[in-house]
Amino acid sequence: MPEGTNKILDLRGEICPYPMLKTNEELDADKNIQMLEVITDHSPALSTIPPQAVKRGYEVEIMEINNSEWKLILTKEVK
Amino acid sequence: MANLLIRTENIMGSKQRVLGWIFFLVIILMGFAISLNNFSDAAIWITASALGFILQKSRFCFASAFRDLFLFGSGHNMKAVLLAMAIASVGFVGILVWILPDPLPGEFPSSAHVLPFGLSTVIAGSVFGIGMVLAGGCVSGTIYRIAEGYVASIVTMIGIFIGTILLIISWDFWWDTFISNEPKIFLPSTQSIGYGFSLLLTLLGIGAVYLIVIYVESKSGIIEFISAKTQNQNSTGFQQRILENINNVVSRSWTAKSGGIALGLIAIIYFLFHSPPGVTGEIMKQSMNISTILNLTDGPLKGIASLSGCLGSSIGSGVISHTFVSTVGVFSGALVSALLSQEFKIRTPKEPKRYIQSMTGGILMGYSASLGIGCTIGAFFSAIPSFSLSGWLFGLSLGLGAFVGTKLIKAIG
Repeated sequence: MPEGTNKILDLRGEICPYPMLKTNEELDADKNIQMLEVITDHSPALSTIPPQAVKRGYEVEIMEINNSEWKLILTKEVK
Repeated sequence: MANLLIRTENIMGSKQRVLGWIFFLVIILMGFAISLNNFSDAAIWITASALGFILQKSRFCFASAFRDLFLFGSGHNMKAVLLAMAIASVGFVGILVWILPDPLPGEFPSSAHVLPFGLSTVIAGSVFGIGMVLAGGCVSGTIYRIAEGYVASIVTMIGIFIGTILLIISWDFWWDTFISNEPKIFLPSTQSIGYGFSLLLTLLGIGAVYLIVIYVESKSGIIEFISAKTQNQNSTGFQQRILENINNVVSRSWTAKSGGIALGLIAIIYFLFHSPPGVTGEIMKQSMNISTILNLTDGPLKGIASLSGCLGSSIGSGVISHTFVSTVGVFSGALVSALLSQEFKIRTPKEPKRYIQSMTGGILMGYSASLGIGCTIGAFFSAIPSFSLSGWLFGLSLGLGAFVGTKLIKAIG
């Protein structure tokens, strides 16, 4: 099985629609990403990123890591 | 949902909550204080606070309602906006019938948001649409984001003031060339179609747009998620259940749909006490004051007395006025909401270009909100249920502007 890549995307400070746009850009640029950790402090992103990630075949886990800071962990099995 | 997991740990302090409850009490006490002078202002103060609370709780966003349709085929927020307008339309018709039972041709109730219909509406809507997408939120969004601690939104607000002042300087041109010649079309008194048929037409129009939104969603293949925080109900006793119930309303985020229903009802309460909701009145009033001090204008704007909406209501005097309670109330309610859900946090953009973007978006919104005699709330959300044809034209233009704005933000990156 080929190695997929793991990446971290720190989007704190960005507001709509950039958290979602930048996540999409990242996922579309490299199809081999098996795990992308997105860090955001913009709560609307919690409802805009998951549908886009799922559409691209990722599973999404959302964790609150701090006061109004979240980590979205997007994972996919790379074939 | 198998492919979405939300884990929330309570790692935050409760200081924000305590502050939130204190501000809540301050709002109520201020309401009583204002009511000693003017009951209507006090009622709008409380109602505007409720509006701010609802907007923050449900992250209601007119900018994303339009933008996300073009950007990624999501009608999540637009459907909530349409739901709110349908509810408001039903309530408004009851109030309108009381105020003006048999409107003669050309007649309309002055308190409703029946605004000029013409080229100025198209220009205002389109420019506002571009501005709100650039700034990442409309005027109401900017107000509640300031309450959440977004520094970029403060920059946007400064831009809104600058834009409003620029409009004040160029007002005579717009008034003489466009606005003074534009008709104010109130559906019920047009061709004597009456209230019943106007309501039917409005609801059918809203329904038609709803269908278009569903069509866009089906084309994009978007999947909807319910992203409310997961909750464990461990409490069993009476007291615990009461606390749990309060917690569900005040500290957990609401779905866009609950926000839409609440917003529709709040709009009706606004109209019962005074006039349909608007948030830009105080911004206009203060911009007028600044312009007068800077000698940029001489006296009130031409023809302003003949205009309703957010512009018409901005001529009152005194500090605590209808516009003050309308605008500042929204901020106060949003602040309470953000603190109670412990969502207040100072957030600063890392990229300098975002400040320029926020400022430009603000200037465009300030200019166009005054040209359109209201923003997404005053000239669109309040105008359609007021049976003003201008609301539809403004909404269509907002869509046009948002489309252009979407291209711009993609280019900016």
